[in-house]
Amino acid sequence: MVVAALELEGVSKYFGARCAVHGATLAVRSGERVAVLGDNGSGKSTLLAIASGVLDADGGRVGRPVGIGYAPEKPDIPDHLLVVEWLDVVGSLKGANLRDPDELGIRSLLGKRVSTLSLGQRQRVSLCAAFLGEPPLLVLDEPTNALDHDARAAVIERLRGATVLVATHDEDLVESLSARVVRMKNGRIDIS
Amino acid sequence: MVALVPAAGLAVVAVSAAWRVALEGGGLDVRLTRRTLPVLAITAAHLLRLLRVARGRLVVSAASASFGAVALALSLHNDPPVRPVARALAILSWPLTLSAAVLVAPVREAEGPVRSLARVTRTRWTTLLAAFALTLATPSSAFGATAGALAGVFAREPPTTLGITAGAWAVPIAFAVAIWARWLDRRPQRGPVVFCLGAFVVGAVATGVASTW
Repeated sequence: MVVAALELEGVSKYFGARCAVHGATLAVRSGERVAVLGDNGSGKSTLLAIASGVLDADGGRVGRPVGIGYAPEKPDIPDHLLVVEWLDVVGSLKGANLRDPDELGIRSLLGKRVSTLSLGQRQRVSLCAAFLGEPPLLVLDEPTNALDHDARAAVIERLRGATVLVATHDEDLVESLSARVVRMKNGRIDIS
Repeated sequence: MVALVPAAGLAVVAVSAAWRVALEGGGLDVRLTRRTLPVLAITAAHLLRLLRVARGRLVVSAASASFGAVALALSLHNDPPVRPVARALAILSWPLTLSAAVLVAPVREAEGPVRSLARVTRTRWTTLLAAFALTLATPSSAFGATAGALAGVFAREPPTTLGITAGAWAVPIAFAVAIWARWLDRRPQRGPVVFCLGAFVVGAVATGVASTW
């Protein structure tokens, strides 16, 4: 029997009067990779924030496992910490240690202050934090946006075999992951 | 006593120089966290923000405790009380309240990224509140203990007793300020004036409790 790692049922989210996500229903099965595609402002990031638990849905039902790995589109990392200190904080909250500092090539970044990192380096740190503790589900928003070729390849390699919900404009990433495609338009899921 | 003045001046210069070198110098960044309990990890992250980014607030916090120390020392010296501990706590209540209150804003700013992470990892809100309160309590209790001990030395009262009790007294005050700030966060009428009014009440209650001890 295939177990659903994530279930969204009729999920809605409003920001004031604007409806960002309207009645979205989506299930991600264990071991499956699902890519959410859509134009800017179609509600992809909001849907992923709800799926990860960062945002509460205003309506509908969300069933998610404990210990999700989530990387937002804009890496949300405190500027004043060293990379290794942030990974300590993430590890403490997840109850996990960083197993492989060479993953995504962050070993050389560990002793650097986050404020000194480029966007691509922050993205790598954010992804590394999401991968920490081998989470049962990865929710990744535009994970390859600012990455160079090598880091992008490493991310794709890392995601193969994992359970992933990813929002992206990158059709090559979708193809490389053999992901099931879900399209969003004006806050609604268009095709499942 | 005469040597205390240049020594204190030298200490201020030395600490200031140490902070510049150790905490601002990019090449000398030192890892100051380890994987630990969630509440301690979050507290450490908040404290590092105070040390590395919000040092102005820390200086105000320390100055407030210093004023308290001077007032306490003069009071103990000019009018030696029967119960010096009660006098110390009553006099230090306001400075310690201010000492904690000025740190609220930078700690709240530090909470943003941690809150997102806490939601994803389903960390309990009580853990975030405890970390918030511990972050406020750590510097204010250190400043309180130092103020109590220095005033004790100056007024020839037991410095250890005064230092320990003043440091311990700062903890419930900081927790009260933290709970007030967090409660206010969820109210539509939140704002700096309302926060200051609440902190004023915390200081008044602490002074009243200490006076009747």
